[in-house]
Amino acid sequence: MITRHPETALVPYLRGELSGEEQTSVARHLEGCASCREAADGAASAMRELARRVEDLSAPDLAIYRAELYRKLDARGELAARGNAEPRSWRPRIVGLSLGALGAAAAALILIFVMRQGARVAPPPIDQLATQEGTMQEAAMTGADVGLLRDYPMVEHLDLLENYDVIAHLDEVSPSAPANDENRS
Amino acid sequence: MELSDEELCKRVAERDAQAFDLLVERHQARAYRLACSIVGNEADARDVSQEAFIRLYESAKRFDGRSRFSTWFHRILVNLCIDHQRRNRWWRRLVPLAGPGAETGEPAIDPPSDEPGPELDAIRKQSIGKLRGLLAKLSPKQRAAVLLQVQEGLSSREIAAVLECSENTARVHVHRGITELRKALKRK
Repeated sequence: MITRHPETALVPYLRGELSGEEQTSVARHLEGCASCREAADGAASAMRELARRVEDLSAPDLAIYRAELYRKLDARGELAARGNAEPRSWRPRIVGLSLGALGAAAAALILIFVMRQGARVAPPPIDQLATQEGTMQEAAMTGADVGLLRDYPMVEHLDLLENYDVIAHLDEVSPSAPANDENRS
Repeated sequence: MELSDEELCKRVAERDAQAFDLLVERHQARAYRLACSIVGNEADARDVSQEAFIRLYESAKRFDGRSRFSTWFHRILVNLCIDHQRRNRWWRRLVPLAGPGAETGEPAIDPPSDEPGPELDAIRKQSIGKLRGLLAKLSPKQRAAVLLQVQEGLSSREIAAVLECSENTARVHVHRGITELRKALKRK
């Protein structure tokens, strides 16, 4: 006994696809259900109409169709043959491409690095030049440029705070000049 | 004695050109018509159905004979049609000329055919346009299911085998497709 509308079984019922028991159940349901009867009639007429319209379709000239098919198949065969013949030729190309891409990437990285370095050492604006000297001295005092000072052997023997004059004129001293007693005093 | 499709397919797997020729001859008209009903366009139907034969030639070795040849070949063809429809859906929405007749049933603007007979060509295009108008609202799978049933006479079980789904799902596709078809017929 079917308790719900057998919507999806209507078309199989109309086509006689259902098993005996199911076919009988749907038939019984249809006897008592006007909406399902209407749905079944509607489905039957829609399928008839579709079948009629499908029959109107005519096939193209089959000789031309087949000739076109064989042309495509031949072309595909040629492509496949070419694909089999050339497995070695594309590998070096890909390797070459990879090397080229790596080279380009490396060049780009170097360029970026150089540009950033250039940006760091770019000369300051003219109005800042006046204050640059003082800033350098301050840097020396605070030890910000300690790395530079280490180039001067005499610096090892200086007390930074007590020998400010010496430090201020380090640019006049040769980096290779050994430290002497005068400087120490 | 006439060889069965299954036997011919085995021979195609061994690269028997004559067997392939026979299979094409047997199935070309139906394959083209089914593709035409599903994709709704002559040029695309030709391409898709020819592609199905090329796939048949290339993969004949994979036909294991467990299902009927027609089910196996229908699967190749219908999958290509469904893929084609899905691929072209966004294009049809953007360019109305690519999918004309969907609402009105008017004939499509197809690429020029290289076949003779402009009158016959016009009639054919009109038929396709009307059919396309009728099936416009069906999803690719619903369309395939309904056409496999109505045009190819397949049972729900066979449709399920072609669409690689359960029999119940195939019945649902058919039911929903027919419901849409009825609505389209009422609108006209």
